[in-house]
Amino acid sequence: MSRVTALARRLRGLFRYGREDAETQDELRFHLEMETEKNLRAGMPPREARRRAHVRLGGVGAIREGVWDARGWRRLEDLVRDAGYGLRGLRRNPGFTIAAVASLAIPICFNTAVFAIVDSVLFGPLPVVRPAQLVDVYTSHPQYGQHAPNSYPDYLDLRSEHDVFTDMAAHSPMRAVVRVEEDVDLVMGEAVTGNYFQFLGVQPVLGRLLAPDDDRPGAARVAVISAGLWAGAFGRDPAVVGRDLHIGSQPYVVIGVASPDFYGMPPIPGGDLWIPITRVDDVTPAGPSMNMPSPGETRLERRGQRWMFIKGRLRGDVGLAQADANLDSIMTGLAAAFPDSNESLQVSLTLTDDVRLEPSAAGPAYGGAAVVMFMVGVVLLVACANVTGMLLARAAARRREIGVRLAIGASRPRLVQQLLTETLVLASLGAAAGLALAWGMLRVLGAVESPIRSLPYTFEFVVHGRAVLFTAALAAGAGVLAGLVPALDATRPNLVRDLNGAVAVARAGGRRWFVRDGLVAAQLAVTVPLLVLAGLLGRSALAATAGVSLGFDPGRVLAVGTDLEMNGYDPEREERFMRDALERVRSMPGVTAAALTSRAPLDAALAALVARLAAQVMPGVAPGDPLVWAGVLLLIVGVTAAAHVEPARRILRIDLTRALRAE
Amino acid sequence: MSADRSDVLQGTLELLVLRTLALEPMHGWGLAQRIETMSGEVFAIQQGTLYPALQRMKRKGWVQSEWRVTENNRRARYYFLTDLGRGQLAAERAEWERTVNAVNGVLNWAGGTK
Repeated sequence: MSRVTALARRLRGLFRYGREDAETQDELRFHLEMETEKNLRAGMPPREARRRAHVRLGGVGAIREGVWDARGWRRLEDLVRDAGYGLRGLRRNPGFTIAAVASLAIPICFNTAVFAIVDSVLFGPLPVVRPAQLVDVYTSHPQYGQHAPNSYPDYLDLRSEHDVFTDMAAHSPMRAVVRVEEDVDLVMGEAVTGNYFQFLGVQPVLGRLLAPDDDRPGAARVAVISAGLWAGAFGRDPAVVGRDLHIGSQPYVVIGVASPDFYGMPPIPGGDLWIPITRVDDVTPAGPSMNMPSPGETRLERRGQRWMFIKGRLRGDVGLAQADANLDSIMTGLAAAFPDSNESLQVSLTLTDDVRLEPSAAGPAYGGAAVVMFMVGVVLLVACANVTGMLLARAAARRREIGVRLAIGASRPRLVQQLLTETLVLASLGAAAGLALAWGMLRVLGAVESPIRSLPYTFEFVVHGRAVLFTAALAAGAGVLAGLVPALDATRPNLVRDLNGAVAVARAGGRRWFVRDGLVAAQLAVTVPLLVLAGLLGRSALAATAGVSLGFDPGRVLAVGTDLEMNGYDPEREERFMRDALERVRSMPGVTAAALTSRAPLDAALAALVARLAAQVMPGVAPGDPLVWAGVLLLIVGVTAAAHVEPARRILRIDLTRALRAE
Repeated sequence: MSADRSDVLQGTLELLVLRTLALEPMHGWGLAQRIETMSGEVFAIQQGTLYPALQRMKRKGWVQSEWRVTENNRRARYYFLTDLGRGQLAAERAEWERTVNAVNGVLNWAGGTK
């Protein structure tokens, strides 16, 4: 008890109790002096005057307590005291503590890591200046839908005639075959207008970014690279500015490195290269496209060839509707002037913050994220159920302590608060460990070199502020989830059952095993598929790096990749080339077999896999739908409830009489 | 303590304190004396309950306090009403009068037994 009091005293120091209390004491002393003087004036002898004053006021200690309580910090004080008590209890049971903390830390680690990735890609702030002002300008067409791309001539006309934006920029996703010295690889990136980086407000870490002059006709071939490509292909060479880089067969000069959190305009890791949009014929546009007849030699000249995205930055005094009306009137003019390529076209504006991903990619991405979040969420639930089980076992061992405290008058809410606080302390320890693990895991993930690529490549995900908040919320949720039922049950005195004595206990015992089996079975049912899935994914990853058996013999197999479309082949010529190449390889001495494939084994992008999974798990549901997220939440809550109701019913009741007798 | 003095009615202490502080800022002891005098020596303040009550009212923002020097050159903590406290006084006063009128209405009932 004295340790508790000592702790309480220390806490009060924390809350400036000392100074406040001293003031209360001064105030009461003043009160007593005044009352004593009044009594003296009434003719009492000094001793009696003082005594009466004290009687009139009452116990000074009690008043000080009363004043302190009236400050409303009693609850907080209790909370901190409970936390201290809980910590000491955990220290006394290191086995239990380590098991419980570890079983929470690992799933929390996964949840935090996944959240950090999902959040930064799908929900986090866009890595640009004042993202709320950005608007995506799509072409809208009765047949191609609301979010069709644009053509370069349309962009130039919209940009010169509009009256609603501070500026407009355009970009197009692309693939490019990049050679740095002897390493060649396929790199994703964007062809962008010269003002693109200024427009977004992105900063370089080295050199400069593209400027408006860079997309003028006849400008030099220059490229901006991502921090990842800089680290991977150039070994963070501080003198990378001015170095050569071949895109296709054309020599380019690196002019700068973009800020590390910038991957291009759908902000997905993997965008590594930016070139002026006027050089788009050196690379292969990789976004959606739409073709209508129109004159012109190149895709920059053909008004009917739509392959790029336009963004505008709203002027302060302009709303989305006004911008829409303004651009639509320009587009109507274009439709009249160029009926072949622009008939029945309109513009369609959406806030960039609402789009995030290119609309056709958004569905699978959100669905995939939902599935992964769901899986790690289930893992955490299983862990919570485990911890609940441990707490129940522990509660049985603490029956006497709780029984005595109930018997000497501790209120039930107060005891529940104490037990819950202990669980929350446990969960907080788990969260702290999980956070550290997640941080380490993301660093390792970022440093893994993809075995598929010849240009080494790194990307960075960090556990940012929102992920820390998420983890804290997770810990609080897990603590309450795992601890509430044991706490409620441990503090529920059931005199009738207790008085019935042995028979009731025996029956409860028989029932207990049945329910515990059920709980274990449910946990297994959830855990096994997760393990299998994790095993499969892990095996593919390991197989690629560490030569685990793949189910086929990769020895003496060579893979050769090429992209003919990028080298200007049309489909017919491409097919002829491929067939020819296959024949000639087969007839080479030393070759026993040769085959063509569009995708090498184990090369499936994880995102595609997850998207397919999402489509199978939730057929006919748009995965970006808030309903799906709500459904996932409901499912989690449901599973938890099921995992808790049953164990709750089997808890041994406290035997007050026996507990007291034993004390 | 004489038998003709009663404790302050449950729940009215705050109203009395607010009303007294509306006259002028005052320290705790002064408040107790003032209330007893103003009530025609009917109420005896439980002095010990006064200070926690003041603390509660401070938390609710009805009163503020500061240390000042008394006429007799002593340091004392003076309490004074805030605007919020003045509003609270008006509200509690209206409620009190409503209650008193209702109780009086019952006690003074001179009508029939309908």
